Amino acid sequence: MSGTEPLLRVEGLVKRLGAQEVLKGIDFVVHRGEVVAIIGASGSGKSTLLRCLNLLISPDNGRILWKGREVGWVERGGKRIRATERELLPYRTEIAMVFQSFNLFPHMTALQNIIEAPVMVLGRPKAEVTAEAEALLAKVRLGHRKDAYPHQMSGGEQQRVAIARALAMKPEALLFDEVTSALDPELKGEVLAVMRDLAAEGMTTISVSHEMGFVRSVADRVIFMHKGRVRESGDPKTVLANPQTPELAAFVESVTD
Amino acid sequence: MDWSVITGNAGLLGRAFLTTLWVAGATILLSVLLAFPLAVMRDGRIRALRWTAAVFSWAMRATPALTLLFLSYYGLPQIGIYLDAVPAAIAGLTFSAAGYNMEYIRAGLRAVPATQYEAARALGMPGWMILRRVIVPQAIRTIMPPLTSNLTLVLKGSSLAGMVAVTELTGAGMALISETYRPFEVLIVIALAYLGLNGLLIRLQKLVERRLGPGAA
Repeated sequence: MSGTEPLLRVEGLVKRLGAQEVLKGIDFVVHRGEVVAIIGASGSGKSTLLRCLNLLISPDNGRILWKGREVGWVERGGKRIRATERELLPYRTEIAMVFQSFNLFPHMTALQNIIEAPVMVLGRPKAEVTAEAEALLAKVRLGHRKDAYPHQMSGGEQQRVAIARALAMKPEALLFDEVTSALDPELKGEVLAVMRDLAAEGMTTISVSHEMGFVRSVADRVIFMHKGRVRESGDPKTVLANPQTPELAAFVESVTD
Repeated sequence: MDWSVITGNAGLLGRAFLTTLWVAGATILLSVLLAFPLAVMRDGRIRALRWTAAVFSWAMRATPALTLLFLSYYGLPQIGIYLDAVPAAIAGLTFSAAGYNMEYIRAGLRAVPATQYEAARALGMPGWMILRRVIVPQAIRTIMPPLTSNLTLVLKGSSLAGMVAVTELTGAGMALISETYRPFEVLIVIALAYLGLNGLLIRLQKLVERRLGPGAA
């Protein structure tokens, strides 16, 4: 893969919330097909970083390059200014996100949740999208639940529908924000299994996760964040087995299951 | 008890009933249509619109409906705007009602969790689409009960139109009483008419709520 531009390149990303600097200059790249896991204690800036990546929140400094093109800022009249929400929409359709609390639309069935954005945002024909959505539901092992409303489903089922909803946009990368954290232990497995399938298919994913088993066995690369900085990164098997910093050593100690 | 006062004036009371239906119906429809964009503006991103909506809400709720009614019937001609009694009544009542409606709608819109906006934005939905497809369908469940309750007040408040020479139910009734001295019979019939109209409104609320279907959180 050397020589080719990475799918995503993050340079010197800074985010302040009030007086506090949550992200203090983050750099990393993600190549197509890579499974990247971001770990760190709560308050280390992981979720903020993920939300900056699809510009749900706008960073205060630094650059995000998507397929070699900067996103979030535009050149206008020779000046570099923040892109408007409308200008960000095409980018968001290419980098989908799955949330800790699922955030399905409660007034829509599983199927309606999945076809909503492809039909309304991308303007694709409903019949075609519906067929794809049914295939996606089957893929996340919920073919039988397409007419269920979110409140009729378990957390694990809702999260799998949320993953199908993200996939229906045919994104080039997926952001997972602690997608198993709100689930009971016995339901985590079914969601992690779907994430494993996606990794095996070559989907590019960036996950904030506390599932160390998943990080160890599935991630190509792990990024350990501490107080708004990347403290360590690399092959999870090496990095997690031989922490180079006392912070990672303490973190690994604390999450060992 | 002499009910001939009713049967003998059925034509007058019937026309007054239809006038009340027309004034109240138009006020309800227009005030809700006016209140929706105002509620969105009130919590929106554009400062000038937020401010405009806030001033509107405050002014309309702080002023008696009767004052607004008089203003549109007696006041506007002074600046060259001549409205007939019925349109003037509808205008005054609509502005008054919209000030309240927008607060109920705003409360409902705010009750939808911020995570719903986040999920919709992450799917690339533009603002107006988020509102129409995601937020309003959820908010409407919260909005309907208090909004309908306010609309029953609006319906009853249509009796104020009688003060600007609109022959609606209450006004026609009072005229009839002063002619016949049969207040009991006349007022009982008028009360029943309001009861029926508001019953209709509440049925409409139930219908809308049922049509929204299952899936509420």
